[in-house]
Amino acid sequence: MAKSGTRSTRCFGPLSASVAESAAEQAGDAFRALRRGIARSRGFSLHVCTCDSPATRDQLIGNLAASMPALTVHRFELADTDDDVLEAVAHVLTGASPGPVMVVGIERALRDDARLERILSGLNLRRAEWPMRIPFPVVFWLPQRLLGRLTSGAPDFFDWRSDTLEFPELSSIESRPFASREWLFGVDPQFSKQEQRERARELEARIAASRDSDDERVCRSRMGWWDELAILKLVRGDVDEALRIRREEELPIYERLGAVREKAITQGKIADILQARGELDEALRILREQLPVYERLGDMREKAVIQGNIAHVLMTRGQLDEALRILTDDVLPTLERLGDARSKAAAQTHIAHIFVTRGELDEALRILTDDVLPTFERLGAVREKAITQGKIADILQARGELDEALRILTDDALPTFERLGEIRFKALAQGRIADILQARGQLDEALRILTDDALPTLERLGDLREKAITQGRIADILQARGQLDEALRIHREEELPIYERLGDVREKAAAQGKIADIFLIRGQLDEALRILTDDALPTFERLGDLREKAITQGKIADILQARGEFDEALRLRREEELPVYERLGDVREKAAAQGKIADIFVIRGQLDEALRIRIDDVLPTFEHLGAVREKAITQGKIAEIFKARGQLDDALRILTDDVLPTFERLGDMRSKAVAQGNIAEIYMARGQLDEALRIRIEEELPVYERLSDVRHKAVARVNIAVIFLARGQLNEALDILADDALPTFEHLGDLRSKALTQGRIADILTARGQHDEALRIRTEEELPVYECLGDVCQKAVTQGKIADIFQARGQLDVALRILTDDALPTFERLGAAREKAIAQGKIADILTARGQFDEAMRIRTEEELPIYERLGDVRSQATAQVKVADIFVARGQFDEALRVLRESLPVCERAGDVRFKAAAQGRIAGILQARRQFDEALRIRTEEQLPFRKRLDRKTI
Amino acid sequence: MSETLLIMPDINDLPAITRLYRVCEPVESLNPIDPRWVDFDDVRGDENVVELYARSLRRATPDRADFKLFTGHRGVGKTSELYRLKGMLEEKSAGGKKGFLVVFSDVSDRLDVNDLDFPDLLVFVAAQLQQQLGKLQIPGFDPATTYLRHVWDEIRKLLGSEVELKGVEVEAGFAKLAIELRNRPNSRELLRAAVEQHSTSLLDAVNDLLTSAEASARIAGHAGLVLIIDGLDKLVRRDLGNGNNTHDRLFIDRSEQLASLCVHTVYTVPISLIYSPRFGQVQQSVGEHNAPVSMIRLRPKCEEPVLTDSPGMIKMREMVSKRCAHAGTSITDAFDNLETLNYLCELSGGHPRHLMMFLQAACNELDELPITRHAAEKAVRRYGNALLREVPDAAWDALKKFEQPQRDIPKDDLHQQMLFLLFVFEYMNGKIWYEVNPVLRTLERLRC
Repeated sequence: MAKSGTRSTRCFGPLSASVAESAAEQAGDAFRALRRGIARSRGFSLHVCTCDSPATRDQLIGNLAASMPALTVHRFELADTDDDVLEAVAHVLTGASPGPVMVVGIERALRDDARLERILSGLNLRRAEWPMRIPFPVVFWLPQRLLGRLTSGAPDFFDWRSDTLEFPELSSIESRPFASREWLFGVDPQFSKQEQRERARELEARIAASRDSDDERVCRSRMGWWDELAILKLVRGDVDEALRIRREEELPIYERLGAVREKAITQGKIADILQARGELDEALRILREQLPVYERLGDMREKAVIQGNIAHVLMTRGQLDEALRILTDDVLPTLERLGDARSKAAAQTHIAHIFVTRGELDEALRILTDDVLPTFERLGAVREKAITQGKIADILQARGELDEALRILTDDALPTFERLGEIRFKALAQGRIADILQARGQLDEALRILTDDALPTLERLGDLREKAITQGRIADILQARGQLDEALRIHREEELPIYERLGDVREKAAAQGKIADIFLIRGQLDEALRILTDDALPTFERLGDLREKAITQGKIADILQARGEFDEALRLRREEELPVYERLGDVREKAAAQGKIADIFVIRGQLDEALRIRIDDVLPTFEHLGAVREKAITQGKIAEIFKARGQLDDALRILTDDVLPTFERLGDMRSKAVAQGNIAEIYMARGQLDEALRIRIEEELPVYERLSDVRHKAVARVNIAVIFLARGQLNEALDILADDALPTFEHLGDLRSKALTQGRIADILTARGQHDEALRIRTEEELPVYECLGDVCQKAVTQGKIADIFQARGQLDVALRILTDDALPTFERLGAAREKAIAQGKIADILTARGQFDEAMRIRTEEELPIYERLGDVRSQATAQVKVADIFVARGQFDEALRVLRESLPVCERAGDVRFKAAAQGRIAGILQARRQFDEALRIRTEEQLPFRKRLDRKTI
Repeated sequence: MSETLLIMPDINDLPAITRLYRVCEPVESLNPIDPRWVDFDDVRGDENVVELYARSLRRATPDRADFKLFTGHRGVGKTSELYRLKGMLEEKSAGGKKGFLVVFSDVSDRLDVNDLDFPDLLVFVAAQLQQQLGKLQIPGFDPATTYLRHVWDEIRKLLGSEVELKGVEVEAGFAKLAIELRNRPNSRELLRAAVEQHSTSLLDAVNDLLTSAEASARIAGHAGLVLIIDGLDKLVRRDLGNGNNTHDRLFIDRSEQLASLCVHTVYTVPISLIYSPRFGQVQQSVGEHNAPVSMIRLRPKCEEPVLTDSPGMIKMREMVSKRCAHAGTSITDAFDNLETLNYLCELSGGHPRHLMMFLQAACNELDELPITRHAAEKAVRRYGNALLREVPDAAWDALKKFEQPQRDIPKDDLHQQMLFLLFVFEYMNGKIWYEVNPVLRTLERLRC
C-alpha cells in the first residue's frame, strides 16, 4: 500500500494472483475517480497517479482524453532541462486551449539527486502560485516506487493533492472499456422502428411544450432533444428534415447564445449529412470553415477530428493521396501528441481504408492487424475490435482468402456483436458473411442469411440505408443466380426509391450502375448505355467523384466492347479511365482496367499485345498487392490467350498447375468451376471430347447446381451441347439446347443468351441440312435480338452464319453479297481483326466454289493468313494453309500444294490439335496417291495418320 | 419514513402515560411543521448543514448536477433535517419565484436495507420518479417515456418466465420490480443481474426522464428539480468477503453511478462511510466536502463537563417538554423531579432517538405518570445490557480510550463499526471530538 498522506488516498495493489484478474476493474475504478475529479475541479487541483508501466499510463491518458471530449487534455513530458515544473507547465499552456495537464516523465529527474532537489524545492516554494498560474487540474504521473520520495521531498506541495490514485499495469486481456462517453443524447441503436417513432413523437411533444421558454437550462435540454430528433429523422430517412433541424433550429440558437463550439459541432454534423447525400463540395466547404474556429478555440483535438472528416470526404471523392497526406501529416501527429489512442486507431483505420481502395491490401492489412487491432484490444474496446476484425475479413476476402475471412466474421466478430446485443452490427456482419458465401458460390446460404437474418433486423431498426444496401446484395445474388428480372425489380423498386428518399444521389447512381450491369448481361446494351451516360455518369461528374466516374466509364467501355465498338472502348479505357486511377494512385483499379484493355486486344486478335499487358503490367501488380484471387484470374486469362494462339499445352498447364489450385485453396468454388470450364474447352480444342465432356458434366455442372446458379448451369449445358455437336450427336445436342437451355434463358429474361442458344440450334439444323429452318431462326429469331441489343458485332457474326446457309443452299451470290456488304465492313469498322479474317475466309471459300481461284488465293494469302500470323493464331493459320493447298490442288499445282501442306505441319503441331495434323497428313497422302506414289502415301496413312485417329474420339472423325 | 405519518393522539380518551408514550415514538421523524419539532441548530455542529446545503443547491449552476451526502448518527434527526431541507428548497424566493420541485423518497420504505445494491436503488429511483412526478401532473410531462419502456421491455425479456412480470407495463413495472427485489431474497441475484445488464440504459432512461421533468418544472416556474433519497444510511454494514462490505459495494464501488444523475441529488449515507479509507473516492465522484449532521453536544466544549444548564441539555429538555405538551401534560407532571429528566438527557448523550427510547422504556415500567428515577435507571440499564451483548469483545479495549473525549479516531474497520453501531458518538463544536455512548460508562465491562 502506498503512503496515504493527509488526504484521501486510493490504492490498489500490490496485486496477488487471485485478485490480478480484477486489475482492470480496479484501474477502471481509479480511472473513473480521476475523471470525476478532473470534471468537478473548478480551477487548479492536484492529483497524483502512480502507474509503473509507461504504456499503460499513456493508454490511460488517451482514454481520459477520449472520455472527456469537451476538454482538451494536455500531456506534458518533463524535459531534462525543466527544473521549474510550474514554469514549464505554464509555458505549455500559453496560447493553448484550456484543459487539464498530465505531467509525465518526472521519474527521469529523480535519477539526478541535485536536480531532484531543485525540482522539489521549486514545487514547495512556488506552491501558492499554482492555482493562479494554472487554473486547471494537474495530474502528476509517476512510478509507484517514487511516490514516497516525491511526497516527502515536497510535502507542502503534495499535501494539496485531492487524491492519490494507483493504477496497476494492464495487459490487453485484462482491459475493458473504462469510460463510456458521458451521457449525450442520441438514438439508442437498439431501438426498433416502432420505438423510434414513439421517441420522435415524445421529443416533438417535449419541444413543443418548451418552445416558449427562454430559461437557459430548458433551452439546453431543448437543444439536446432537437439534436436527438435530427439523428432519429436521419436514421429514419427523413434527411431533409434532419438538415432543416440542424440549420434552422439548432444553428440560429447557438449563434444567438454565442456558443461558438456548439455551432461548429452542428456545422460538422450538417457536413456529415451533406457528405452522406453525396454533396461533397459543400460538405468540404463547411468542414474547412470549421478549422479556423477550432484553431481559435485552441481545440486541437476537435481540429484533428475535422481534418479527419475532410480526409474522409476526399477519400469519397477519390482524392486518396490528398486524404492520406492529411491523415498522416496532420491528424495522426496531433492525436499522438494528445495521447488519444482511440481516435488515433480510428484515423489509422481510415488510412487502411485508403490502402484498400488503392488496392494495397498487404499494407492495409498490416495497419489493421499490427496497429489498430492491438490498440482496441488494449483499450478493451470490444465493439471497435470486432468492427476492425470485420474490416480485416473484408481485406482477406478481397485477397480471395474467403475461408479465413469467413472464419473471422463467424468466430470472432459475430459472437462479439451478439454478446454486446449490437443487433445492427450483427446484421451488417451477416451482410459481409453473405458476401463471402456469395463469392464462394454458396448463393442459397447467402440469400438465406440476408433475407432471414439481416434484412428483418434492419427493417425492424428502420435503418433504411443499410436495408437498401442489403437489398442491393440480395439483388446481386439473384443476378448471379441468373434471376435477372427479380434482381432488376429489387434494384428499381426497393433499393432506388430508398436512396431517392434519403437524397443519396451517390448510392442512387451506384444502384443505377448495377441496373445497367443487368441490362448488359441481358444484352440490352442500348438501355444499359443510356442509364450509364444519362444518369450515373453525370451524377458522379457533379459530385466530383473521380473514381466512381472512372468506374462508370469503365462500364460504358464494357458495353461498347460488347457492342463490338472496340476502338471507342479502348479510347475510353486509355484516355478516361486509366489516367484517373493513375492520378488517384489506385494501382488495383489500374491493373483491372489494363486487364480489360487486354481483353479488347484479345477480341481484336492482337494476342501478343494482350499477353504483354497481362504478363508485364497486370500480373505483377496483383502479385505485389497480394491479391491472390485476381492473380489467379489473370493467369486464367493468360491461359485463354495461349489457347487462342493454339498453345494448348501451355494453357492447360497454367490452368491445372496455377489457377485451379489457387481457387481450391481459396474455397472459391465458382471461380474453380469457371477454370474447369476453360480446361474443358482446351480438351475440346485438342479434340479430346470425352475428357471435355467428363469435366463439364462431373466437375463444372455440379458446382453450379450446388450454387443454384440457374444461368451458369444453362450456359454449362449449352457448352455440353456444343461437345455433343462436335461428336456428331446432333439429336442429343438439340435436345439440350431446345428443351433445357432455351427455356431457362427465356425464363431468366436473358435475351442475349437465348439468341446465342438459338444460333447453336441453327448450327445443328444446318449440319443436319435443315437449311430453311436454320435460316428462319437466324433471320427471324437471332438477328433481331442483336439488332435490338445494338450488338453490331454479334449481328455481323450472325450475318456470316446466314451467308453460310445461303452458300450451303448454293445461293453463292447472296452469300457473297451478305459477307462483302454487311459483315466485312462491320468487322473492319470495329477493328475486329479475327472476325474480319474469318469473314474473308468465307468469301474465299465461296470464290473457290465459284472457281475464282486467283481472287480466292489472293484473299487467303494477302488478307486472311497475315492476320492469323499476326494474331499468333496457329490453329486458324493451319486451317487457312490447308485451304490454300486445296486451291493449289484445284488448280492442279500439286507441288505447290505439297509445299504448303508440309509447311503447315509444324504449325498444326504447335496448335496442339491432332486433328489438324491428321487432316494435313491426309491431304498429303491424297496428293501422293493421285500421283501414284502409293508407298509413301501408305506410310503416311499408317504411321502418321492412323495413330492420331486412334487417339481421337471415333465419332469426331 | 413518510412525512404524512403524523401522530395526532386523542387526548381525551387515553391515560396521560399512554399519550406521552405515543408522542415519543423513536422511529418517527418529525417535519418542521410538527409542534414537537425542536430547532437543534445551535447545539449541533458549528454549521447548519441543512441551511448550508439549501444555499449551495440554490446557487449551483443548473448546467451541472450537484450531489450532497447527508450523514450523521442514526437517530440523530437526519430525516427531520431532510424534511427541513425539502421545505427550504420548496420555499419561494425573495422575488416570489417558485422554489424547487423536490422528489423525496425513503429507500427503507420499499427496499431491504439488509441487502441493498445499486440495481435495487436504480429500479427504486426509476419507480419513485415515475410515481411521484406522475402524481404532480406537471404540464407537458409524461412519466412513461420511450427509454424507460424500452429498458423495461429488455429487462422483462431477460427475466423471461423466471419472475412473474407478465402483463406488467412500464407505468408500474419498476415499482413492481422494486417490490420483487425486496420481497424475494431468493430471486434477488437473478433480478439484479437482469437490471445490471441494462444499468447504463436504465441510468440513461432515468436521466432522460429527469431532464424532461426538470424542463417541465422550470417551464412551470420552479427553480429546478431536486431529488432527496433518504434511508440509505440504514443500509446494514455486512462483510461480503474479499475485503468488501455492503457499504463499500454501494457507496464506493458505485459512487460514479450515484453521481451520474442529471439533477441535484441528496443521498443519506451511513456515518461510518466518511471514516472509510476509501471515502476519498466517493468525494471524487460526489465532489464537495460533506459535513455530517452532528450529535447534540451536551458538553459545550470537548474539555468542559456536562452541566444541567448547558445549551445542549436545555435543548434536550425542550424536546421532552414539547412532547409532554403535545401529550397534554407537562414536565412537572411527567417526571417525579427534574433530576430524573436530566439523568435521562445526559445518558442519551445528545442522541434524540435514544432519549425517546429511554422515555418509552421508562413508561413501560409504570402504570401511570410520573416517570420515577427508578424507572429511568431501569430503562437505561436495559439498554446497557443490550450494549453489553452487542459490543464485540475486540472493541472493549478500543472503547476505553473514548471514555474521555478524544480529538481523533483511527480510520479502520473496527472504529468505523463503533461509529456506525453508536458505541462512539461524534460531536462537533468548531472541532470534532469523539466519546463513548454514555450508557457504556455505566457498565463495569468498560473499566475492567
